[in-house]
Amino acid sequence: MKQDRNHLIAELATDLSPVSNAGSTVGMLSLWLLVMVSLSAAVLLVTGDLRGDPLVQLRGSWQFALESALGAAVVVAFAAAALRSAIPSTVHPARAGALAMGLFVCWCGLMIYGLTDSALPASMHGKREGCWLDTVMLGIPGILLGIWAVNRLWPLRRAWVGAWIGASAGAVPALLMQFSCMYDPAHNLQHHLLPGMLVIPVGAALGAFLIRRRTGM
Amino acid sequence: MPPLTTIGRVDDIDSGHAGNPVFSEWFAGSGVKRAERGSISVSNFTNPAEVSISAIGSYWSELTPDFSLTRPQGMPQTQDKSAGSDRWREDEQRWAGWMRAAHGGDSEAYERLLQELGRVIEQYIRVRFGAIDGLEDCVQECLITVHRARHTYDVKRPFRPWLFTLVRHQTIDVLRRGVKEREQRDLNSEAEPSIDANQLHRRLDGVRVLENLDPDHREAVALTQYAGFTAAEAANWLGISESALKGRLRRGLLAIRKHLEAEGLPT
Repeated sequence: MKQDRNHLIAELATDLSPVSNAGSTVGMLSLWLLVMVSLSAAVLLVTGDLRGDPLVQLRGSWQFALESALGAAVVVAFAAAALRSAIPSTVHPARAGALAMGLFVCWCGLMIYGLTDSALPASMHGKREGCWLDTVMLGIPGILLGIWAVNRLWPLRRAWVGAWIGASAGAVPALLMQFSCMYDPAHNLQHHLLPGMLVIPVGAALGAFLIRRRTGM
Repeated sequence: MPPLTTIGRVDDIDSGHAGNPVFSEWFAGSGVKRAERGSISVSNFTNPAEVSISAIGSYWSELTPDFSLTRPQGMPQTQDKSAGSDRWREDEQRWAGWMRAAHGGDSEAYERLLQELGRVIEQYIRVRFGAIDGLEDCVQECLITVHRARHTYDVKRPFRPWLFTLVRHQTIDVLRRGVKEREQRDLNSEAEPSIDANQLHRRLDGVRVLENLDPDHREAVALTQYAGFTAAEAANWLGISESALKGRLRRGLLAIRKHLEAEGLPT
């Protein structure tokens, strides 16, 4: 048996090929986020206009800028948690996503605060019909992209990884709706953030099915 | 027999580990004579604390990242734990270095790494999962997993968590596969008797076999083997004593057996 092991090791060593960017997920993370955001933004621009000039709105209200910054941080943090969970380590995926969840709670908290003190004047201007459905549907390509990315790694807990992919993919359209749909904190919570988070179970289910099962043989 | 001295506690030891034959073997090799839940007793070495704590420390720290060794109150402090952690660090650095070289395509370093990991993985599986079936196969599957997942190791991060997470998942996978295979085998082995029983019934059902029996014997066999009567019920039905019924049944089955043997059929 030991003889077999030595033989196997010799074969594996012979089979060895250099690995580039080993263990680094920065490039993959950037690519995934870039494609996911570009795709969602393109679809939103094709299907409707922006509510106004985003830069003017960001400069005009620190609270709106903070809401948007938190949304962006949530997207990046969930995507990073997904990729981190796809690399073997003793850190449980729940812990890997704790920071992202914390940021998401802060994002929701700021929106709830906005119910009493709105960042921008609440109005129906720019309202999109079925924006909640758009949010959910725009999350799906992001999930598939994320699954493609993590399949290049070694995900051992597929549903967890899928859930974080779904969270990130759902948060992207939820964030972009800040600029392309009507502004009202209650509407944001009900029609953008909540549907965005509904993508989490979709991601978990797709992850469990589509993320490649990893075994040695 | 030198007196036993309790020299330390390993908090995460449990009765399962203590009862593990591999663990016992290792204890014997290291001078540990008795392992109890939460404590380790060793024979009296020249410097028992040094030998045993160093050995236990390095062994446990190699296998369990959450390793903690607490010293009993009043125990003099020695350098042993730091010796163990030095070895831990050396291994960590050496493996990470070899893996870094392997990422660059250095097959010699990689072969050395896999040789060493093979031994470590075997020890880990023995202690963590006991003497599992197909241990060597499991070790080899783990080595293949390490090979295929090597691109996910980040040289800036510790090596052990990455390695043992892969090994643990792979071993659990192998164990699950083993359970499934055993269940499948059990199902098959359960199916076999039912096939035999069917064949037997078919044979018994054959008029040819029953026709050759004495009518009294045939009645006894038919009532108990086909109609599902108990011996008492069949005896009552036939109006004979239970012992007489059993005698007829025994002779009837013997006759069937002889008949089947004569035909060269399994009985």
